[in-house]
Amino acid sequence: MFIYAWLIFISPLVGFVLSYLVGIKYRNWSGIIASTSIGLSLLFSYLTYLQVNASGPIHESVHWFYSINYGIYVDHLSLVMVLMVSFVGLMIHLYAMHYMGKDPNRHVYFAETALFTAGMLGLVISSNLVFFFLFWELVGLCSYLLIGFWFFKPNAASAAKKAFIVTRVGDLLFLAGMALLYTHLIGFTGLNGSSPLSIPYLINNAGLVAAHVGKVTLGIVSVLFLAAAAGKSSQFPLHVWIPDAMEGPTTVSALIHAATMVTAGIYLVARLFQIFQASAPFALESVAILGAFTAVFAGILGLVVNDLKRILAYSTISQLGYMLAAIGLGGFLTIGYSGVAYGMYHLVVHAMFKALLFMTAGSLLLAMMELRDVRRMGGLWKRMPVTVTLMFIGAITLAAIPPTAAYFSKDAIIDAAWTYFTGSGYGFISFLPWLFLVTGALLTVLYTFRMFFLVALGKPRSKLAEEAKDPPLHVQIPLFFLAAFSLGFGIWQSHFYDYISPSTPIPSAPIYIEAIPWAFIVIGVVITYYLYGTERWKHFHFSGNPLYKVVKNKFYIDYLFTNIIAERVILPLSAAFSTFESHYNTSVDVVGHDTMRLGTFMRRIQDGIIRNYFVVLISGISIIFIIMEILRLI
Amino acid sequence: MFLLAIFIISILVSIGSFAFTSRRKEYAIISSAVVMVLTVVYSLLHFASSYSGGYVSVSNIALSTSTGIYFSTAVTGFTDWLLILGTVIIFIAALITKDNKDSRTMYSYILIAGAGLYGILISRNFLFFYIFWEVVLIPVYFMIGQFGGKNKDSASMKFFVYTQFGSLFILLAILTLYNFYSLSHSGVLTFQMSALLNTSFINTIPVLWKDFLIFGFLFGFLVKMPSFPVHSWLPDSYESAPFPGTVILAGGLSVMGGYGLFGILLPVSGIFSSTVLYVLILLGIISLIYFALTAMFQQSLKRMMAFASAAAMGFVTIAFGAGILEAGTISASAYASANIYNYSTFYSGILELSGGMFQIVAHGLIMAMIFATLYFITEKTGKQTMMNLGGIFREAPVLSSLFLAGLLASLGLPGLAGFIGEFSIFVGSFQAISWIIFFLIFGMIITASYHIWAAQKSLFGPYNENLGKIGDINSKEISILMGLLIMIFIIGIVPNLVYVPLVSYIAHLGGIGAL
Amino acid sequence: MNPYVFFTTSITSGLSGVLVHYSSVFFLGIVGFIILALGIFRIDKRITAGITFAAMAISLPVLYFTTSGPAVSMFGGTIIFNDFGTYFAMVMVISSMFIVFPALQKINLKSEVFYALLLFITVGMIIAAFSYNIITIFIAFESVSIGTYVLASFGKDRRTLEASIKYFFTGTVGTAFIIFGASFFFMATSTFNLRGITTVNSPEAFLIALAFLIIGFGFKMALFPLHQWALDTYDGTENSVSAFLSSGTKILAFLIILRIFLVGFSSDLQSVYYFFVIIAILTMTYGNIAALSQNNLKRLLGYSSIAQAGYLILVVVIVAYSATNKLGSSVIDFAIAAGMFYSLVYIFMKGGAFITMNVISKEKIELSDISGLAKRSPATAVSFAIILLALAGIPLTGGFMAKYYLFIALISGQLWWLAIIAILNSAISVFYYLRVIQQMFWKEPQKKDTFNLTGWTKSPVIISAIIVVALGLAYAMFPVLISAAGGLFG
Repeated sequence: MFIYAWLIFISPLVGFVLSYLVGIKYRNWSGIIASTSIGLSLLFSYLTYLQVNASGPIHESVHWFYSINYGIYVDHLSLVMVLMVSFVGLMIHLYAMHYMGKDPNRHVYFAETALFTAGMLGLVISSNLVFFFLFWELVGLCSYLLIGFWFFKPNAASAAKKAFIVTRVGDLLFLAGMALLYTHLIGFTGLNGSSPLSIPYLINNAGLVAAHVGKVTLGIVSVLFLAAAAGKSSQFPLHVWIPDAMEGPTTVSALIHAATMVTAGIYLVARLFQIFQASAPFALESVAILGAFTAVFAGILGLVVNDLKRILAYSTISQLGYMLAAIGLGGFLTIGYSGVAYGMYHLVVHAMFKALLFMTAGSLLLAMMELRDVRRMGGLWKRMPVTVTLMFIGAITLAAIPPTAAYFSKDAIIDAAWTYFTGSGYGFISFLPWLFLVTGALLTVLYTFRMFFLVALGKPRSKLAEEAKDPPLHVQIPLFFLAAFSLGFGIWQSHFYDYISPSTPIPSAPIYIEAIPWAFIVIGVVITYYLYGTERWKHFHFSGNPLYKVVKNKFYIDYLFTNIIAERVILPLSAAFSTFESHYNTSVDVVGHDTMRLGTFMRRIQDGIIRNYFVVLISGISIIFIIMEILRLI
Repeated sequence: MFLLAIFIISILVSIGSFAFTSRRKEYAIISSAVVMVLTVVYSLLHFASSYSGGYVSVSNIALSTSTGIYFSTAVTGFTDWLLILGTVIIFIAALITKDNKDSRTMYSYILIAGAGLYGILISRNFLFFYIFWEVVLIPVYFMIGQFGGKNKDSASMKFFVYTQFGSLFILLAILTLYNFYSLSHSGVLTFQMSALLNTSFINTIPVLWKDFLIFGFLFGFLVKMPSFPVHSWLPDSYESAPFPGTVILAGGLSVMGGYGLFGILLPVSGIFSSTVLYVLILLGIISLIYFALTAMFQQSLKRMMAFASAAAMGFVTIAFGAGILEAGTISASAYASANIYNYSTFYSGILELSGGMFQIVAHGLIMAMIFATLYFITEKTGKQTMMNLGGIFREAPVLSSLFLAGLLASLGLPGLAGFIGEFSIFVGSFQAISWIIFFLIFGMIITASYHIWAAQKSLFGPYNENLGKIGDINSKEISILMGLLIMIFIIGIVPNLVYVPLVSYIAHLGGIGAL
Repeated sequence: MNPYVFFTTSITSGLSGVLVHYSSVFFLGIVGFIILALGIFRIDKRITAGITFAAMAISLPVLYFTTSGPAVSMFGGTIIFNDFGTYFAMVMVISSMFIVFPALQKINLKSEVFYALLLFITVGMIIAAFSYNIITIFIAFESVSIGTYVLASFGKDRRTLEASIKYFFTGTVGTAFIIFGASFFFMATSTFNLRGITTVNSPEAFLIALAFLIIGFGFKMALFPLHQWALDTYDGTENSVSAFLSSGTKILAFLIILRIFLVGFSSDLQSVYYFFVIIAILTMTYGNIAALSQNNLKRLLGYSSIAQAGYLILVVVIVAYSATNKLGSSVIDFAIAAGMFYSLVYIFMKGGAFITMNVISKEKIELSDISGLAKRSPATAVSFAIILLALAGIPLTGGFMAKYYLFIALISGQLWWLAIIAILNSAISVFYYLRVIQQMFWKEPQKKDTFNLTGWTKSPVIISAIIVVALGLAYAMFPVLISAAGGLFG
């Protein structure tokens, strides 16, 4: 049977080449070509879906170099990702044809996004960790290029640099994890011929691997992978790059920094869940704690920024925290692999509504001439009804207000956290995830509606806001699709869960626990409306407040990275090294010059007067005599 | 014979180049291209499918039997790739030479260097190995001294004297081998590597002299790599050399050093004590971090990339040390008997050893790419310091993209050649050095940082209007760079092209009991 | 047997042989007188030079056929003809042939005297090449020296005169030392023959003889600290003469040092080793380091030739050391052969270097005078560069092979430390040779350049460069030398 799965990422690759080459001459075609290629990969994903349903997971592996293979591995988990990525990617591409329609270099843009999509799809279905890493870096590269797409903006250039380097840190830890795993697995007869880093082998023989490698070592491996995931999915403390990444075009933020690439980290953990599970418990615990903590942490940061896209960025980080936490909860046995199901479900839902939010934001920013300060907007609901309505749908979904899809996905996670707490004997550590997540729910509501009310209600607070207009309706069609999904996707909750892992229970908690998030929603909406639905917020001044100051400075983590580590440690270090180098370099010349001076000095005896020659002669000879006599004595 | 024919052709064209007074660029390009193509054809014949390790196309021409002077040649899968790389580098060097009336001799120098490089790689007799080893230096010295940039006199002098100093230690080591061979074999005088490079024989040498000759070889080779702390010739030479010279320095000399390690010393890896190997690994790691940090601080792109190249060669040293350290635990018989691809029972050191050799090839191509691009940037803008460039992506998008590609390859991005080597070394040497690997990570982070930093400073950001109007590169120049980029890409995607011969080479070494 | 019978038999058996074996000597001598006679008729100096050259060229095969082959001893071992001697005699003849035509330009008045002297010197050299008796050696050597005193004074200006005077004074002092040494030698061994010394009556006298002879011949070979006349002389005299002094006479001195100290003092090689190891190290190092910052080109070459003398002397050190430590004859033969090969290459390297000075028509030649030669005459510049690289010991040249064999000899003589010192020296020496090359190739010529580029000045340089390269590729030659090397000991 013909394996369509290969074509899933090959067709966007072709799209990448074509859309660039054609685009050099005919700019407008590039977008069409790119979108078509991704539409095709959506089709192929569907065909693969049918194949997998018909006859189990697809695994093809080819020898790459010495002990490393490359190939594809498609099971339900990867299928979900594939379908999501290709669908959302298609939507965003379609929208981008309008959004980037005026840009002189749009062929480059579409080529890069097509390449990115190819990378993302390849990452999802690749069957070997090294091959996986190849795509992992490829999407990182595309993100770097696309953040810096408007290269002439200094902010964009430096943001791109930051994104690349920060993710690079995670990637190298990923490499270290691979090295550790490889070293312990190579030469293990249990491999029977499969590559030590082949994903299907690892997840199907997790127990065997754990027995051979040792639970703790495997735990360290898992933690290193988690670090990689944190880099890609911008979890604490490597979250610093996403907010700056908002300098890129908004469609890029939607595609890469909301829907797809940032979920690659989550996917990595989900993909290797069995390894995490088989290793020492601290692995999945750290996953849960990290995710949950990030959910709150980013939520707090989201409260104080005024940049529309940055608010969304922080919400993305926070939501990714939810997914990671959900997977981490799988450490508790009765949850197990269902954790992955919860996480993936939220991932897909989030992809939909966050893409929606970003693209509506894109429409706003088109109208606002890239003026991103929410305090300068306001009253846009009247002026841009369609866009802001769509944004409203996105907002309520983000805030997990029933009956939107996110309500189902997120509450499931929170309740699962409660099960985790109660199930594993009411320990404090096992309490933290629930605490964080439920607090995160409140924060989510707060920052979401702060943003939304500031944008939508009140009077226009800038000239541009007054003249804002809706974009033409036809370009918004993709947004409608996404909106529909965000609203309606909840229906398929249980089907989805079962598709990922059979017979997944929909987690539940006592009613008083269930009630808490609802209460938070109400409280949150009321407070935000009271403050931001009207002009009251102008009379509140937090700036004096030290706590506010700390939050405003992002808990000084960027400061730590940029000003302390980069500028106070690395740069002085390199300065010191290069100073040493220059001295060390000249030292050679110095030796040379001294020897020459010695030569000049030696030539003094050569003064051209025979009388002195004889002096030299006699003394020299007698010295030689003496030396010789000494030598003879010893 | 085919191999010898190619070699003789390369010598003849280099001599013949003096005869040409005009149109010498075309001559140089065509002749180097011919040599390159012939080498590729040769490789396809011998290494494409049927290569199972060991030396192929062996030939011995006796010049003086009693003093053991033969002109004997042979190549392995490893040297064959170095040959291809060397010819490509010479070809590129000829292509990116600025053509004016006094650059005529330049082409002769390039071709002579190419012939010398060829001679080094195919010689299986130490005398000729050493002769060609020196022959490469002279044209490079003339390139720097005659066409060099600022302080070319001192730079060229330093380059020659320093590297000559290293070479003389190689000579001493060779002579020591020679003498002890004649002592232990009742006065048989020979310079044949096949005779002298024999672990059991070398291990019979008295310990002091054995250490001395190990030191001599390592010193000479590390100077060429170059590795910390014997790199002082590097920055000045790279910076003041004309771009073809820099390409040859970065591609050719590192090939010499790498060949010294993996072609000459790997077959007798049994002579190294673990201390020496740990010292080598240490030197490699120091080189990586030291050069990375130094490069980070440079303003001149050329100088920065010079250090970057040295840092990349640090990986090779690490691979050598770690690989032998790991392989040392496996007996030769294991190598001889084992199916080397059955890595679920047998592995020892193959990944990092072949990775190290792979890195030499990849590094050569990538550096050629980077310096070629830098040459065009300097041609267009007349500047090569980051502060004087800036935002040139607006004016020259294609050139900038290609430079960016080169930088990404150099920092080891997967899909490009740089990654495979670094991955293999990184993952492979964990066995030998375990958590010391985090120093490598640190070095690699620094590497990534300054590469990206360089790209941001020079290519992106607002355009530096002082540069005025600069055009993009024309299709011919694009084709040069694209050719290199495609090579780098193909090797990165289909590493087995390089990998299979290397692995077979190592396997065979095991077979003859070297490891 | 009674002295009378000994005398008569040796004469009768000797002369006939001598007539055969010394035929080349007589031939050259006669030609010398003929040239002097021709001088009366004021014939063109070119013809004179041509005759000289032809005579020497003829004498080469004559030498080979009359003297080589199995050793022939005469006058009770005073003179021994064997391949070793033949080789050196031929090298000497070549070294004098080498300067015949280059000298032509500068030698304007009394050219016939010049060439006659050259021939007589050659005769002396050939005789010395076969002598195994201090007295014969002394006489032959003095005839050479006195000839060279006169050669040195050829030329117009005062510097030449001063140079020759210095040369003369120091030379005579050297001679005095040699005579003293010889007499002490006789006192100690009661014979002048170098071979077959049975008993040493007084070791002290023997030692003093050693010292005095070393001083005497150290002068001739310009070893440190007896080198100082050499620089002034090389600097002052005509280029071709300095070429001859620094190549021919130096090789002769080297040969005689080999013979006297390795044959004559074979019973006390220990002290020979100590003497020469010190002197060799000092000479090499002094020559190289002093040359580094030297800006007078001819003096630079002078220093380099001092350093080269240091390398040559290493042969004596190796042989003495390995003979005392019983390392076997193969090592010794190899070392001597290395010395033989070195001498031949040295003639062309150093001679060629000094001959090259002819392209600069100036008395006091500074380093800057040669700048831009590559632009004026690439061929000359490249050839000179080859010669310099050969002196520096860079491969593909005879200079490399010579050093290479020398280092092999050092290491097989188990003198690693000395080998390292020698290697470091040659690494240093590269520096000042490269300075000259840089001047030639990429410095602009001076405003009024003083080049004198005619076929007469250019061709010898190119020829010697070619020969130097050719010697670098003559790998088959060395085994022959090894087989001849044993002849040193007669």
